[in-house]
Amino acid sequence: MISEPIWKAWFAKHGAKLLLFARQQARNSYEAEDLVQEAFVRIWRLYGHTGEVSSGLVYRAIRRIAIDWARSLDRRKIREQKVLLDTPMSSAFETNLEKDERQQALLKSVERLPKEQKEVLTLKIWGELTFDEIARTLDISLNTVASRYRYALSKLKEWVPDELEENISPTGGTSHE
Amino acid sequence: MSEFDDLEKELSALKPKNPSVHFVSRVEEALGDAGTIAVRRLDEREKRVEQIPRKSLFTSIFTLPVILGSTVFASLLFIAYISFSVLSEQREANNLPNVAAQEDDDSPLHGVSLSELESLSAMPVRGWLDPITNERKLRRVDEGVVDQPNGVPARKVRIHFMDETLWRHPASDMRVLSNTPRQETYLIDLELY
Repeated sequence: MISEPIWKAWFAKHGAKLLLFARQQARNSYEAEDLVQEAFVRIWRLYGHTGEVSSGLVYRAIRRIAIDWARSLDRRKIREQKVLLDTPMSSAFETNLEKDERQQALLKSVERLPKEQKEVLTLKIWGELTFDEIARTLDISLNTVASRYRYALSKLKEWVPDELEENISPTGGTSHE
Repeated sequence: MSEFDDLEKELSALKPKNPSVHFVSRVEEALGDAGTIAVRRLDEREKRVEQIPRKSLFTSIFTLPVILGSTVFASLLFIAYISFSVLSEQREANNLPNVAAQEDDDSPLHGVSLSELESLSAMPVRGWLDPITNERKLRRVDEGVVDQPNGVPARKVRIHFMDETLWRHPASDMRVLSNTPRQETYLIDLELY
């Protein structure tokens, strides 16, 4: 009989989603990892003995810690701040040779969304949280969550064809960056 | 059906990158003991059973009596061995000298005097030199940035040590090395600029 710490299975299931959300709260990918580590360790130390922890708690902790850090770092000149701005959102997703132009256009469109809509979309689609859990995570009302989500999807529906057109060169082939 | 169903499916099909192995091991180190409190048991036998190909009924009919016979024989052997061991232990216990129930402040064992301990133990009791201690640094774990009560952020660093204690007994040239793990946590103030 061999045993394995439960947190490993939990982290394998939720780690990627937590990092994706943390990237939106952090200034760079390193800070995103710091955020996930800090939030997860704090929550697991409190509730880990039960063997199961709600992912919503960790998302909430990530957001709270990010706000705390941002307050304490306001006076800093963040040299790395530009790093995240220059990092495309597609780099946060699995690279897939079969990833078609439409998926690329989709990610570019997600990147264009306002931060508030992007975090709701991320928690709903990739975090697989309910509207109620998202409302509690972001400290906003259920209606606000629903409307932000709907706005985000409408914009994506509108923007994706534009992004696709931009990628297609005049000769009909695809442009290579 | 919502007008966004297809779009939602397309988005869900995109999978975020998994955390790197380095990051997972960093989290594991930061969790420390909290990570090993809740564990799940993996039954290896179940896995093995799944891997064993199913044999035909013909083979099973002939092998089953052989297996049953072997099991009964092994059980009888085991019972005989246990009975013999218990009897031997009882005989050895009867041969031990009686220990006087008296208090000796120098003795580490309650109810056993130092002289009795010396006669019963294979190890010398008196004549040990003062121990030599040594602190060995094993690893340094960066547990990320934390907030201090004064509002200044700090980097939390946990250092794992192994304390070695060497006991020496020159008369018998005996040495006893004891290792005790220890952890220390440091908060390094981060500069605000």
